[in-house]
Amino acid sequence: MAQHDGRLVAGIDVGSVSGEAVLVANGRVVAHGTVPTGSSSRLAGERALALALAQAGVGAADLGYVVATGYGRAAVAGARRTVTEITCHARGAWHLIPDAATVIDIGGQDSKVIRLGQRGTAADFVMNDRCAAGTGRFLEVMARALEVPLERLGELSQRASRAAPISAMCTVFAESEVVSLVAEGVPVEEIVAGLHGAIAERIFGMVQRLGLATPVVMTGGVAHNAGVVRAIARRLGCEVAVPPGPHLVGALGAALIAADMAAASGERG
Amino acid sequence: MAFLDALRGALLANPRLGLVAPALQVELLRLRLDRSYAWRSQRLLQETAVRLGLRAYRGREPVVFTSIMVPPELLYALGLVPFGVEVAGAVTSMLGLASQCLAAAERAWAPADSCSVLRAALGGAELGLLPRPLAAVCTSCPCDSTAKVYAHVARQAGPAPLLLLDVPYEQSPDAVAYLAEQLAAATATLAELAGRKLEPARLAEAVRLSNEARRHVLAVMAQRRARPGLLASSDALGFVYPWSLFLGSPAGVAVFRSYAEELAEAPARPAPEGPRLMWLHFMPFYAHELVAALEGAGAAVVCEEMTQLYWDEADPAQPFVGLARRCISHFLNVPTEERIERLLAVARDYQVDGAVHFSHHGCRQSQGALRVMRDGLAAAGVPLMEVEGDLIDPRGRGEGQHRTRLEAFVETLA
Repeated sequence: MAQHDGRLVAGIDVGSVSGEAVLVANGRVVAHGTVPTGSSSRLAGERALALALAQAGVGAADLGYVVATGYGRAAVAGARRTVTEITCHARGAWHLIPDAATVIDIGGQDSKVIRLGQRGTAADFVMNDRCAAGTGRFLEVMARALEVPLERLGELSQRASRAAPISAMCTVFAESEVVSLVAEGVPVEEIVAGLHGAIAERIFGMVQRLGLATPVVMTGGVAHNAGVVRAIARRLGCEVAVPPGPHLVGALGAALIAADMAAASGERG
Repeated sequence: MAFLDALRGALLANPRLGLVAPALQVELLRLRLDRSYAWRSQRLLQETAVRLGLRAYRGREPVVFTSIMVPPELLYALGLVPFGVEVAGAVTSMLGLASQCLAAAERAWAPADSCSVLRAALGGAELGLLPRPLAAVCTSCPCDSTAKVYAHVARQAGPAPLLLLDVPYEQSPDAVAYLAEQLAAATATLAELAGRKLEPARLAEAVRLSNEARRHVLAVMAQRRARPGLLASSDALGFVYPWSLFLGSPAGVAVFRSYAEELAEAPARPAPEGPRLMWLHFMPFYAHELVAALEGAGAAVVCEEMTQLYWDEADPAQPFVGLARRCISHFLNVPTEERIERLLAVARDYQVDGAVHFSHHGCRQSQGALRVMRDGLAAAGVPLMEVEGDLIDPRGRGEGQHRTRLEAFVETLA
């Protein structure tokens, strides 16, 4: 169990697909927990926090400030404050990569590009939240259509010598297009590379709206897909860094904001 | 109150029965009993609007369909009743009739990506919800589909002739003269259709009343500048209705005089502490949480582009020139660079920290310049956040997404 001086704070990020909790003490991650969100944001927050507390070997009574973020933030019980995931991802990414200038967060059903300001604040942002195209949900649907595990998509695309162009903008129509490509005998890896390229194109458009500022950092669950990361880096023409545990960055940012609040209030963490 | 709401709904449930007038009577009764209004002037505005609607639906006076920028002074001078078709579109949403009207518009092949305000009005015409007009008058700006929709609506609800006013996209004496000539011609045509003679004295009086209302609007704006947050933006945006339909009538003077007096009497209140925001375009006409999301995050919407007075007093001796000048100087009829300068002036007056633009689906005239406006405002230190949505149709709105976007925007301002 990590020792801490009692300034233990938590950030809880409840998204559409998963809920994460990160415990921070003295600016360092002490423990974390991840659960599927399921049908209840409130329960997801509770379960994620319980996992993190168990990992740290502490109880809820040892916690100070708790900040909730993510789509389900309003449902998290016990949060002292809610902060949007834009601000939290900016803060978390900056903590891990202090010279980060742009954060790309692709989550379960939306994607964001965040321009960082001073000290990890979000100076500007663009969101794509009107449809699931280009998000984690998009990749889930495509993985099912291709009958490959989601976690293999990155490795598959690396084997492709070319990317099959995917023209559909909509997840449903893209799925139909994928099925057609499979029927035409296009290799699965080329289709996957094409899907990653489609996501990269969408992200490129969003980055262009803000203007590219490097270094670029990618966060969120989709950042675990090295194929998507590579495709985005290729399209942007620059490196894209992925911190360890990219799916935890939102919760980490929330925890760091909780620590800031605790320090500002003079409260014992 | 719930009973009256239900009764009104029942009367409107089958538009073919032609029970809009009784529904408006019920609404008038409901307004008299409603004690929930924050401002008595707000209730006066609503009552005045309902009475004007009743005049339109009773069928005893000639009705003219008008678009937002058509000067109602011309109609009042002839004793005609203005009926705002876009306003009707907005009202369908307030009354929960939007989905019916939009479905009717869809059956009439109205493109789904066109403005739902006009589509709802078109659907209302298809359902027989609109009064029978003597004529329809519309301007070529600001909305790109106004002329075609008004032509359709005039045919459905009439048939009635459409008079189209071509508003030049330039601020010059020639442009004013060009439009003034059209206003004069349109007025002459309406007089002929109504079998009436235009009396210059009546038109001069309408312009005089319009000028008087304008002075009261200036007083309202002064109060709002001095005390940001005094009048809720959602209430202030209702001014667009009397501007388009009451100016030139004693009722127009009464409404704005009431607001000016009531705001001046209002007790002092603390200035907003958090970020101050300017709202661009309208807010949805159905119940929404956009402002609540901003206020929950600690911000206050203190002013709106739509409610900034943009015209000078007209000379009653030269009514068509003054009214033409008003049309042409609308902020949606000027180059974007000028629009940005006007917005920055408002931002300075209200000490605004940021702006929110509601990008209404299909509203190309407001969204087309968004990037230029964003850059222009940002360069002057006023960041702009865009929120996409539909003013009329609440279906498919992503409240969670809107809330995240707006809260995150406020967080960037803090």
